[in-house]
Amino acid sequence: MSEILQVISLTKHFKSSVGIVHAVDDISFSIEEGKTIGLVGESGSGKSTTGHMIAGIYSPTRGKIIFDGVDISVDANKRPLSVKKKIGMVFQDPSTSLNPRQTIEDIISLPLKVHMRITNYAEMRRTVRGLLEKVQLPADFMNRYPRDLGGGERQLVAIARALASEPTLIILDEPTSALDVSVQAKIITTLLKLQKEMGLTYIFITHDLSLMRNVADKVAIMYLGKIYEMADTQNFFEEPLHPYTMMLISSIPTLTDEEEKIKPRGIESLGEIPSAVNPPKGCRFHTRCPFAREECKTNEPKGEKIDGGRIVFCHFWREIKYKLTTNAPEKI
Amino acid sequence: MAEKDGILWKLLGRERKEIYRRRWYKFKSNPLSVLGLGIVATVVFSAILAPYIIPYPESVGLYMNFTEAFQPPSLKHPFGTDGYGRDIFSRTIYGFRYSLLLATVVLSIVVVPGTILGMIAGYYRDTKIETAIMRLTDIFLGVPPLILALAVASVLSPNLINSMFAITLMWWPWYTRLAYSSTSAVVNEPFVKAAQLIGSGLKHILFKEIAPNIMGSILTKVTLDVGWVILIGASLSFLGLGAQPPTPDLGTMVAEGAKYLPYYWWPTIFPAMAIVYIILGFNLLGDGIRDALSSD
Amino acid sequence: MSETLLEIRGLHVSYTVYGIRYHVLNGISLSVRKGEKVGVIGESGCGKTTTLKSVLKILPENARIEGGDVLFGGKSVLKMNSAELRKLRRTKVSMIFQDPTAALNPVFRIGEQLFDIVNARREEEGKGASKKEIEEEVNELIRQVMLPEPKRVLNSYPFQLSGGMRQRVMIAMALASGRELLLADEPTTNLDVTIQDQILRLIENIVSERKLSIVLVSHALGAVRRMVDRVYVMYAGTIVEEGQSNSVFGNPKHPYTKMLLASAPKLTGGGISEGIPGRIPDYSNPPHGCRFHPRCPMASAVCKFKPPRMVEVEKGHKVACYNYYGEDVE
Repeated sequence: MSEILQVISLTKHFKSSVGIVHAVDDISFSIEEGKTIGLVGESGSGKSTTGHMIAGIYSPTRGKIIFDGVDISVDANKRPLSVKKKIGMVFQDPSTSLNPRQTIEDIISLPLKVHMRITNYAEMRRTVRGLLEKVQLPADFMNRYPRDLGGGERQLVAIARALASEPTLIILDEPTSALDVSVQAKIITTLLKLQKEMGLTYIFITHDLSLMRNVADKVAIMYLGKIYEMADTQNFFEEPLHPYTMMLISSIPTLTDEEEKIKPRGIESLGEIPSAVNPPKGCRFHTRCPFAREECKTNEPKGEKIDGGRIVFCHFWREIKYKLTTNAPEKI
Repeated sequence: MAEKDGILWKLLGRERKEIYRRRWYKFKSNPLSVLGLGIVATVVFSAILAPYIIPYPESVGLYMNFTEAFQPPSLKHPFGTDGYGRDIFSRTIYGFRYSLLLATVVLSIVVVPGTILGMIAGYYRDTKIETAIMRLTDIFLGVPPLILALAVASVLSPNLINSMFAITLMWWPWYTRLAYSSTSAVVNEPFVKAAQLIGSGLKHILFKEIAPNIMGSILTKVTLDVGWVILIGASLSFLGLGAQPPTPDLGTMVAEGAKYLPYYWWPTIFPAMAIVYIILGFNLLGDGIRDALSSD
Repeated sequence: MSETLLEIRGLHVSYTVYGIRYHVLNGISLSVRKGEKVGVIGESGCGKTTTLKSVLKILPENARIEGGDVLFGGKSVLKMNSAELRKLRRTKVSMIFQDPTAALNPVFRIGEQLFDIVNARREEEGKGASKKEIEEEVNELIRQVMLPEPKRVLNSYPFQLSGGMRQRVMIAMALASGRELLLADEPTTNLDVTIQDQILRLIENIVSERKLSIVLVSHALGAVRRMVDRVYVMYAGTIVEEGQSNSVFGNPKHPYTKMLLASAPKLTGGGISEGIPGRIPDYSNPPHGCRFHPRCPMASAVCKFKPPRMVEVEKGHKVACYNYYGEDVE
């Protein structure tokens, strides 16, 4: 399996009236073809901005994005058409990512017009119908407007549109956060099926950890613009190493007792996310970390590679692990 | 409703029908809007049919019958007669034509280029293109409208065509500004970003993605502007810079009759009320359109 | 068994939009006892918010109550005059909304808004209060919702606070005016997971400390499960299942409940179900009989005729489904 995407020291700073917003700071990861990498984190973590940079909505302040061997570290306007064809994106809110004044047919046929050189109207309609079928929507949706469709159906249209140019990579930015749980199930099932059928690579961004567990092959957790832990899904959830990962997993409201059992003990969520304009010095998580020590306030933790492709960014993860597995909860 | 069974209605898809049905429902729920529509309808129809429906067609041009001069309003002459014995009612109705002609010509020239310019400025926000366009707009908008129109009209010889030219010159920046602000609001929407990511060209984004979403406010403004253009035109005519007598332009008529106030009030008051009538109609209609199109 | 505080009986509510009537609530019945924590789960559009708004009679203009009643403390809310309603809203029942930004007035400081609410309640209660007493109570409320830097918060405008802080302010406001019943409409859905957790814990503590009753409405199933004793499951304006929280979540009976719970992704992995086929019904022309039947894998002919009534299948656990008619405990 080759690596279809590599992100190297990617950074994005925004200028704002209150200062420089450190949205993403020096993150690196890669993803293999046909797999799903999950970026998880709360608001302000930088996960969406990362997805936007890969998609080309923003250009990186620093760092590189390598796609299929090609350096695409610029915004979409500067990328060649052949690259745009291969990358698709599904946005969070389907009521704003579809033009309310266009019919479903118009919306889905745009990538066809741009990339697939279909000039024959009949062939266009046939292709659109085929795409609707792929996402299990009825063909007579073609003449409807987004407002006539439910949230889940709109998102399926967004997916059909993303598939139209026959991409190899799709970035999904919180694709189901605005949807009910049963609708979400349908969307996710469809996405996974399409991935298997078409060998698609997904970058899946969400704040919902339970969802991530069932979707991603590899997970990276982000906080205030940095990645603090990255691991294969099973390891990530069954043996989290970073305090933030543990805090996040333990905050999830679960439905069953089995789920409650696997949540980490001894760590409760505290505090709120600091501003990204002046992120805390040293480890950015130290202001909320129950295990923070002096060093955490001044030195940024370096990524430590552990066997199996895991990486953790924490000075004291070994001590923390020891403490949590050997005795009762204790806050420092 | 009779229209609903018409052929045009049948040809529309079910979805479009629902959209129009809702807009009409919103529109007619406000009686003032319907009133506006009614007024506008009377103005437009009487303007089109004027030559055939006015009681004294000869009053429209050069006509003199001093025995009939200054007749107060009566059954024979509903608006009375002016100093030349011409029937004011006929002249007023005929005057609608000049008013509507002025508005139609000016707006036809101004709306499309002004809007496109504004869309480009809004799309290329924070670039030199935006600066160039918007500062140019600012310059034109910086001059008080009537002064600008006066300046232009007085340099050129006073007639209807030239007053149209003057008004056109000062009107276009309003559309640029409106299109600019509407476009700025739309351009950051995810569906525009999606189109950019897909790789569609500028033409598509401006005309297929952005334009349909700003048409509502543009259309509303056009409707309201009919009234305002007519008012400015009438002001120019009143000052002698527009259509010249004996043309039955409403502003010109107001000016002609003004010298006889308050004694013979009807040669001035009726054309003035006609101006108010037109503007009221288009304003109410414009408000109604704005409400009907708001957040579908 | 403590007395019933809130009772909704067979409530029917419709909305009129662009001239078309939408029959949203189709005979909702639920009850809350004193000190009880009740949850209502259901997806968007099922009528949960409409139900809550009926309790305070704050439905929008285009809503019409077609039938049924809402009783608070035995008295009909729907028949109350404006003085009685004012007393209800200022002293007894309050609501927390999903979007705190919409519930807070952007042009007044937090302190001023809280002051007004406490003042209004005290007026209603008949005992006037000095400015100092009210301010003391405001400070106490801020403390209770664990807002950091109380002085700064009281002096701030809503836009200066984070989402989590605004939500705490809204809870403080609800506590100030709702001494008996708290209605929470998706109180944590817009917040980050870690903040959600903190807010839920806060609500739990406050509710048990003050012995308040609470109706928690949410489509976040996990949040409801951890908080409530009893839960109602709503679909398309009807209650399809009700019972003790453990019973309903652990052993769901209604096909909708089963499919809903199966759709939720589990932290333990194991994949996700395919969701529920079909779409929510068109309320302007809702299905006859059981409103879920077009989407139900266990539907039979009788489901299309008449809506099923509730039958009790286990102690306290009731289902509205013809598939369980034979199992009626009664």
